[in-house]
Amino acid sequence: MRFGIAGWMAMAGASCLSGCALGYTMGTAEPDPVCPGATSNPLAAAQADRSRDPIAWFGPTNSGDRAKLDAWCATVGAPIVRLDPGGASTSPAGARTLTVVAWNVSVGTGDVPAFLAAELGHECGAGRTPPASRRPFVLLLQEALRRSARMPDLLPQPSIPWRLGPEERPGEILDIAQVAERCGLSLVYVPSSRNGPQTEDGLREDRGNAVLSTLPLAEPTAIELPFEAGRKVAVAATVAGPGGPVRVVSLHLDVASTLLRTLLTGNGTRIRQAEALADALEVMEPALPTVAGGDFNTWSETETALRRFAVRFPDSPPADPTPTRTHFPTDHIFFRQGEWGDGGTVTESYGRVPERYHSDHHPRVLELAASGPAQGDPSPARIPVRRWSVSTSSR
Amino acid sequence: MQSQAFSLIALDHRAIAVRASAPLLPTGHGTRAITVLLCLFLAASAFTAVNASGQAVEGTPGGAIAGGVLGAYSGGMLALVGSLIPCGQTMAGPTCSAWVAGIGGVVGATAGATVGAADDERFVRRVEAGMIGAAAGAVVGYALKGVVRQYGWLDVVSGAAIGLAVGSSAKGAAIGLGAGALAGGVLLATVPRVRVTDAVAVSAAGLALGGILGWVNDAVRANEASFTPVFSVSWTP
Repeated sequence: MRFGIAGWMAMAGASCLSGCALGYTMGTAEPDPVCPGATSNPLAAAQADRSRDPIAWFGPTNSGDRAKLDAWCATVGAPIVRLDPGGASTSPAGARTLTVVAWNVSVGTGDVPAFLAAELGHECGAGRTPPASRRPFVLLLQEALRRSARMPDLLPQPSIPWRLGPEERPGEILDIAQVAERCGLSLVYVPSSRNGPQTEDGLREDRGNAVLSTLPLAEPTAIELPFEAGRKVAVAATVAGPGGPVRVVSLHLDVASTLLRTLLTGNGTRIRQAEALADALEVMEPALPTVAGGDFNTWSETETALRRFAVRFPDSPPADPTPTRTHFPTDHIFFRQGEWGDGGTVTESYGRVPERYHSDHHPRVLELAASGPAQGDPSPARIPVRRWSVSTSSR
Repeated sequence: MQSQAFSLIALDHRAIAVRASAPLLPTGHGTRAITVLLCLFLAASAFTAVNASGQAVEGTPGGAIAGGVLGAYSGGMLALVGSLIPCGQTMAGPTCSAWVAGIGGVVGATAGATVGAADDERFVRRVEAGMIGAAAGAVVGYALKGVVRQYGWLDVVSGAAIGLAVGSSAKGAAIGLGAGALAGGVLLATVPRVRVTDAVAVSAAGLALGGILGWVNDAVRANEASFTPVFSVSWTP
């Protein structure tokens, strides 16, 4: 008898503890140019261009997550929304393929222009790539860096993480707005957090996820993930893909929560964030084909978060175990056709770029293709498609 | 560009309330490892229970209860820590960890109550070792607090909590960790598919298994020390 009572109490306690800290409630917030709700700092609010379409916000509504997310959001600058890449840079319509790159650029250290030139044949700056030879692509970047004076002057506090990067490297270090400008790309950038209170030269920085493309972007959306160790905001937009509109999502999950939460949730940090994001995407626009890629911070390609995310993205290529950061396969791209996809867009190839271009992560590349006849001008179909052949799938 | 495909704004006023849910039993590649772990826990539990049932209680009821509580805590926490990575490779994830922790707690409770009931000294030694473990865990937690941004004082306490569980079965945990690390290292060096994550998982599982089996072993020894055979064979040389 004495064994049974203690034993069953232990089992009930462990089961409760591991389950009770995983809940979340996701919902919409009032459209706002800086933060969901009215938490924006005045400097960032003044910077935001209210004449443009505001970013749609989606995120946790439960008070525990909400309070922390709001405190973090009050420290950052306004998102950058540049939906049009510029007439001279726009990729030709009707291309048969779309290259999607997911890359953690290590707080601005990754050399995006060098990557674009070497891997995608896209030249930044003067003498840009002629439109006829251009293939459309989408960059899903994490740890993108933005420098601005329009952030509040704040003392160190828990809602401001330590400053990271950019590391010294050859060539000019550009912030995300400069990359989009010089490379002629459309951009939606939503900061997740400040990058330290301020830099040594007095500039202020924030960092977050971004979507850049040679194609025009539509419906910019920010999806705040449940709070674990810090504020993470996935960025979504819609582009004209090879088989019709495609939703693209740049995401970054936390590497670890607190030790207490790790024990209480059974290490459910990334599971909670990945499932909340998948829920949000299904509610917002379940019909569209969707590509979600980024830094999942996974230790292996078989982690629970990836398994469950793959169930929600059934048309994804097989998870690739090739390491993208040191020994770990942290970065992945998922795909689902959606109700309207109807097989019009398929995955052609998936793999890892061998070079890191000064980041601490390798980029992942997914090639999408139209399964049916090309729409519009067929000439781009003749542009050779590079195969990312570490692992391939076409379900 | 305006078409039905771009109807997000019309949709986005639907608020949803979703709670994470998970299958009750693990599935996927980690199933085999988890199944082996569960079978070992169950076998140890049954073995200890059978031994305990034949024991003449010589300690105090308080000793049995205290031993059961410490054993349940230590076994549950060790099993939880050891299960995090293996269970994290399954669809069930945290649910799997909860089950393993619960079973570890049952085995620990059974063994701890046996130790506490039979031998006060053994139990007191485990409490003392647990306190040393808690202090060591707090020191590690404090050190981590300095380098991991999101760590606070609650994580120092959490480090102490893990240290208490490990320390109260220190010998078994140390042997298990060593064996697990060795096995993980050998697998890492010889099997191409095995990666660093797998080696760490084997080490952590070794720590948990060793610590819990340490409780079971102590229970058996305590039981033997206080056991009076019902049928004895008289033998005179």
